[in-house]
Amino acid sequence: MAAVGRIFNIGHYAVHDGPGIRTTVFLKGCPARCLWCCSPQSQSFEIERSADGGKIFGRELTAAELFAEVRRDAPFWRRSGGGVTLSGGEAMAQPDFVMEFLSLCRANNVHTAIESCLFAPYETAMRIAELTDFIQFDLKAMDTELHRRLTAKGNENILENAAALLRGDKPLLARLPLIPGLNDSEENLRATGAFLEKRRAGAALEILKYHRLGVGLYEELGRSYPLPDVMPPSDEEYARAREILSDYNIRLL
Amino acid sequence: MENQPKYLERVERLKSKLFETYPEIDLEDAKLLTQSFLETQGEALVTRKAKAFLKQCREKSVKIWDDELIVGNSGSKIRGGILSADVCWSVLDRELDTINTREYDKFRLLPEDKKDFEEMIRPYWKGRSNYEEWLARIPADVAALRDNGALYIDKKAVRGWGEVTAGYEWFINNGVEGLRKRILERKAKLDATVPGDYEKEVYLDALLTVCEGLETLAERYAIEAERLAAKEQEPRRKAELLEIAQVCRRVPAYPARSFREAMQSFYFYQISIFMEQNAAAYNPGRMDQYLYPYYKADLEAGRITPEEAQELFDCLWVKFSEQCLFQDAKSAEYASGYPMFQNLCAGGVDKMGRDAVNDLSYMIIQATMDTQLYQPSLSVRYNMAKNPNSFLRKIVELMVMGTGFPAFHNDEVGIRMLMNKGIPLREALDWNPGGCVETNLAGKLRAYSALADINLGSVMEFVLLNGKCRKTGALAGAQTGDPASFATFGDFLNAVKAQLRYVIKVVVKASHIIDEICMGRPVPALSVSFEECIENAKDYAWGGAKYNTGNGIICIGVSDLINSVAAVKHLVYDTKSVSMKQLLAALASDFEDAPEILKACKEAPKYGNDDQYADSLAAELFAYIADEIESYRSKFGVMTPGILPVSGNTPFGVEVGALPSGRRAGKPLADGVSPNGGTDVNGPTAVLKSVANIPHDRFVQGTLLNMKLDPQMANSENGIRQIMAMLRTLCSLGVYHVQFNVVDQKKLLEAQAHPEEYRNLLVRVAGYTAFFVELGKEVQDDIIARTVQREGSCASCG
Repeated sequence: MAAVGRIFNIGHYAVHDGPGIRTTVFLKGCPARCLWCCSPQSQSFEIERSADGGKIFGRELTAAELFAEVRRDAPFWRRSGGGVTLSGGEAMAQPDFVMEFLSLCRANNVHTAIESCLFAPYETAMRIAELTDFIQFDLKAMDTELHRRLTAKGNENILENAAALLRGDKPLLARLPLIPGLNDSEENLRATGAFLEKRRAGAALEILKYHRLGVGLYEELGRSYPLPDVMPPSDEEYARAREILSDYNIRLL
Repeated sequence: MENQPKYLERVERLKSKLFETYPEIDLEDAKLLTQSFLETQGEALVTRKAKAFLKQCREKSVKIWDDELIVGNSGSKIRGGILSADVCWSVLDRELDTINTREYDKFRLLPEDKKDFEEMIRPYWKGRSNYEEWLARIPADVAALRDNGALYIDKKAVRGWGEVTAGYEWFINNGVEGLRKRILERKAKLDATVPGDYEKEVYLDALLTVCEGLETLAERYAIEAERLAAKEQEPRRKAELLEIAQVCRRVPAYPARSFREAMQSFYFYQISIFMEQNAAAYNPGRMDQYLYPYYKADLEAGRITPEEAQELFDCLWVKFSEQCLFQDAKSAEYASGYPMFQNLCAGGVDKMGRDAVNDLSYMIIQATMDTQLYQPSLSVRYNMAKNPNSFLRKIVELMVMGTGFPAFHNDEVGIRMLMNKGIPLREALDWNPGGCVETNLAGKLRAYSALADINLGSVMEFVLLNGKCRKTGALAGAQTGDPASFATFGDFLNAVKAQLRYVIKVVVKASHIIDEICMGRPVPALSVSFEECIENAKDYAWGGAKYNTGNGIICIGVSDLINSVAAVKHLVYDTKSVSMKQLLAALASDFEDAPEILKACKEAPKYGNDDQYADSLAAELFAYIADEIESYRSKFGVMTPGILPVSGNTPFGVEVGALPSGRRAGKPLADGVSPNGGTDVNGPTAVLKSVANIPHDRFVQGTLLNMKLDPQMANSENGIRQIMAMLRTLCSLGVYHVQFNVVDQKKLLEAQAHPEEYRNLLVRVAGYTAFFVELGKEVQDDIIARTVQREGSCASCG
């Protein structure tokens, strides 16, 4: 039987989620609870309503239905070298649906990318990775206790999956969300650089600056924002992180 | 900017002079025309027109402003609104006291000019203009549509021809000398005893008179340059003036020998056709093609550097911006911002179908980057198969500067449009965009490319009110029955088609009348650059050009029509959630008493979202409109459809009550083929997919798509690359045209509040660019309200 997936949005003309013009599918539900999460409506696997009841977040559809919907953008993929990006939520948390969808893309020569935290059983992560052309994953904190404090989950399987992917030859982009005071210690930055460098010399790393654009969405859902007092990193803080990471044999974007 | 080229200092000085000048009514040409007509009573009309042109060339003021390299002015003022008295003297008569206080496109009128107008121009022209002829002959059904806001058709009667691309290449290459030779050769073949040959002789003599005028005018500029040189103290400027004198002695009298001469020859001819009849859209066309041989030869011979050529382009661009369109208050609502529509084009393919992009194609784009003025109306023909990536990149670099230029045209569709007008591929390859987005062919094609605008919002209203206009209550459309009696959606759709059929039929009739009136509007100075006008000894106005087509019939409110039909289908027939009766009652109160129906209307499927429900209706309705318009012929050829709103979607909107689409009464209609602002919610890719459902290549007078891009989308290397990819996709989808406003809403609102600080803020209105602060408030609001296209994903942070 066809797997049914839950998504909460489809973004067209996405130009920062992989090569070319992309159609980004946001899957609903995430095992982690990052304190800085900018899309709280992505967290629950359930279909939700806004606090005032006016908006519904999430809908169900099969992989074939999703493919029919996104392939309407195919002319743009062809001309730009783009494709589909699965984002979230967490794509790896709906593995059957995601694998069926990625297989459909592959069968139709559509380039695929995934944005994942890699929090998934090793087998699952590897099977999904196998079906994906380009993988972007996060390294939020290298110490598992810190990771647990920041995201509600430890990072053991994340690092295991990341290490395996880095040793392979799949195009990858690691991403570090820089949250002042939470994960920007020199220790964490150095551990990140060393981890990447050791598994894949020249690995690409993008530092994402923490932002507060999600504040309104928390309000809409009737929830309070977890980091009321944390401000986006200053230019100096950002430069300092780059400076530290530039000691490693990795490619900083 | 520290690294800006030296020549930009000159360009900046020329530009500030322009900015400091307030548009003024310029009656010099009209006075000379009137005097000449008093002297030539009894002669043939075309002779009188030619002699009036000659008199203008002999007696008009000849001025060379400081710093100029390219010289010439069609009137006597820098930003003059030139009155074509023989066409429309009465427009100024009606607005004599209000032209400087009207809402759109104000002109100052000096007291002495007012006096001349009252004492000389009005007494002579009263009862003699084309506009009065039109007003006297307009049939009742046409007037009913016009007076109830369903049709705008007066514009051809209130200004000259325009909407044409003269034979600049032929003119520059041959000079007046060559033209005269051709005219004399043709004249030699005439036999005065053969019926019809006398008229031809009269006509060819008129062309010879024009030739004399062109030479005289240039000679007078040469004399003026020498006069100024004699008293010039500064040696560099003195030398420049002497060079100007030399150039003016050579061209346009003789074939141009250099890039500079070719450009000056072009500009003399450009001001000449404005002098003859001030109008919008005398399109310079493919300047990168016809000037290139001169540039190449100069460059190879070491006579010019790329920088010098760029300076000349920039100087010419300032000259283009001197012209101000004179039009009546009503026409100004429909095209506000003094739009001259001098559509100048770069790129495309050459006459053999090969890549035509050359160094000048880039320089032309650079000139608009340098000057950032509202003229010329810069267009590109982008041929995806043949033009290089670097050209597309240059196009996007200009787009993201936010000036609204260039208008991007999909070359293959443009070529097909010309062919669908009946022009063979061999010549269609050489097409150029004209006016807004219309299609033209230099020196070969005659037609009004945008004769009349049909208000599709009114058409929908006629369907709902059995032919009546909601605002006036008058019967203006066809009587297609009470919509509550339509049992099926098919019945409803048939009524929509019947109304379209009726309105199109009335407009075609009106177009034929205007064609007839225009037989009395010969333009020998324009015709002289049309080879076949000489060969046929027949004026442009009379069908002398090689190709003639029926006039352009333009549809406005495309998205409003589609969305209204889609909403009725969805609510009344498919889901049956609202009855026709309830809908009609809600519309009658402008939804005041029916907020839940307004909500349902707004939530019905909308064009612009890549939704087949609405888009298949777009395909069906617009194929039908094209079929209907193409089913008629005028004496010049098949009637031609187009979709270009200029700014007419705003005044048309005022005339239309609430629509089933959820649009409230009086609000602007959608512009061109663009979705209604705020109703397209799936981003730019979905807009293009929807827009591709309209059969663009059948709307041979062009289709216009406006998109507003968030500057964030364009401020990175990746952003530029993806806009390039989006444009290529647009080409694969068969969409004809797009133009971007890359300006954030905040800036527009600030400019509205503090116009004095934003004098140079350019925006794309629709098919043309204007200074934002010179637009009327409603047009400004419409631009601010257009949906901003953003990137599709939320900012991700892991």
